[in-house]
Amino acid sequence: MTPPQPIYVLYRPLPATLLALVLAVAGSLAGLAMGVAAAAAWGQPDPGPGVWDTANAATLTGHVAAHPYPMLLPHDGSAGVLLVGVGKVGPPGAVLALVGHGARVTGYPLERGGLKMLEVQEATADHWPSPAPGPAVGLGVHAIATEILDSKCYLGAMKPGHGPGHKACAILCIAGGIPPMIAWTDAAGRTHHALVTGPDGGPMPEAWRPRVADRVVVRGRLTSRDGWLWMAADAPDP
Amino acid sequence: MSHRYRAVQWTRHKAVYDGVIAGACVAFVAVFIGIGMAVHRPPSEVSVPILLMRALGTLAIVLLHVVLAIGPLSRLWPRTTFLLANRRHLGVATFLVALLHAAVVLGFYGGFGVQNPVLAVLVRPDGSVGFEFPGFLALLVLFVLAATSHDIWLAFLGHALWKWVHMAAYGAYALVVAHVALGVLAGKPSIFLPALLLAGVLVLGGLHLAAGRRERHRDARGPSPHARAEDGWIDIGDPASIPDQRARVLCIGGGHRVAIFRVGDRLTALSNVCAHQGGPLGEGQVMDGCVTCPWHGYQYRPHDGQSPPPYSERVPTYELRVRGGRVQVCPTPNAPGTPTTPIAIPSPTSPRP
Ligand code: FES
Repeated sequence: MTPPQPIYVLYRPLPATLLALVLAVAGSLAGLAMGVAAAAAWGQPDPGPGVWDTANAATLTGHVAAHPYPMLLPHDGSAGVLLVGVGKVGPPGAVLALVGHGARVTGYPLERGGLKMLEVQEATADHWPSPAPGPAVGLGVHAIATEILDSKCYLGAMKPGHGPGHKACAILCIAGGIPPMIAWTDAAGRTHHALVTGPDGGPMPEAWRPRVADRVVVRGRLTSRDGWLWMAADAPDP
Repeated sequence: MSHRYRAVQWTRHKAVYDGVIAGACVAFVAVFIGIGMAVHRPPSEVSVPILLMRALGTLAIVLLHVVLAIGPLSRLWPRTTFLLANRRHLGVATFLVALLHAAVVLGFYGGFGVQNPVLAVLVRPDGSVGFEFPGFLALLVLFVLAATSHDIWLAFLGHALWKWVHMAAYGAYALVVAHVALGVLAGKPSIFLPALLLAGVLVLGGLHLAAGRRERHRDARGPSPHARAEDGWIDIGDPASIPDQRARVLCIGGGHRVAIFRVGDRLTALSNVCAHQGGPLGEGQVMDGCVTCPWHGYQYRPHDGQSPPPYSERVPTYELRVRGGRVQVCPTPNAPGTPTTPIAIPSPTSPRP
């Protein structure tokens, strides 16, 4: 009769005949775990090409507008730059005090797909002549299947800054004053973005907040102004 | 050996075990973040806090799979019983890793805003809850299991209730699967992630089904009708084939098992159920003259089922007798710790009483 294998007991030395098995099992488990780590890290979805340059502050000058989200309209006439605060909040009071005036704003830039945002560190009055308000071009009423995003994370503050995993963060950002936006792809494969306001041009209706980051259909008037699209969204269907 | 209560009765083995677990956890996170950064390069890189959050979440799930796989593995392949040693350390490590995952989630998804981070993550503006909630419940369950993993709780609750409470690990597993399915998988990741989770569920489910079937099969077998004497005593089979210092486990019906131990040419019979956590004493070994449980090494004297002084655990004993040259066991257990007289293995030529 072959003698049975000795058992391993915590408070005794490991039997020599078990050592090889212990090492083999530990090694296999560790190898398997590292394989899972590698596969799971590899298989993460592409978070998109947003950039948040926290190493190089930028200073921009222009006119501060709020339709209703604060935005700097650069004096050179280029597309507006959304202004937000540090953290998940809208821009500081110094920016809000400058709405309707010329300003010099310093902060960390975020950019994705040509859309620009500045996380404001400092804002002072500046005496650039106010640009003529950009013409608002109506693009008709649309129903767009999309996801409501918080623009700061989507433009690069959090990568990925979209999807169901990011929902709580997106809701918190929008509650704090980060402008909500939508992104969708047309039949030709081009991606479009629009800031979301209420039907009257004010902030996005509260009723949309629980549905941020869900797949939804947003219906409303689409307008082009200051280098951005704006969706004046109706309240969601109940 | 049975216990004296201290926070952890450290031995060199436990220190090595915990060191290996900690090192493996750090290596796992490093591999995840390293590969995540190497594969997803700027401008399509994943934010480092999110890599960390995902690495810790994935690690917690892997650890939970290992913790839950050890039980059925040791039933199916008794040589892997050594994995049961320190399993609770692995359980506590699972909770700590899950806690770190939750802390990173609260910090980055719930922090820097205008709301309480915990509420911001757990409660939606309309009062509903999202995929984070099952994850939070799983963390609570893991906390309860980690906090009650100590033998003080085992003694306080009794082994049956303690075991029942710790079955909640399966509830935590179901909650974790729901958390991942509703959160991560709903975000349309590559096929890797759903495939990994499905493989984990299938492997774990398969191991439990196979182990359960094997145990049920063993229990259902019971003694053959020919093995029962008229007065109900049960033939134990050929005693000479029991290896010295080892046992044969006999299912005596009603889901009860007796471990017949052989020490030299003497036989004794004990309940197969360890008084600590119900480990299978019959798969243990006689060491230092005591039956030693293969799970955590509690010891019992073969003739009376009592732990040697100063310890106080006891298991039921069973009477043995020789009839017609055959060894038989009484199916009715003695009270735990009742002394019995070891019987000599009858030789084929010994007189028949
Ligand atoms: S020593 Fe823990 S179950 Fe037996």
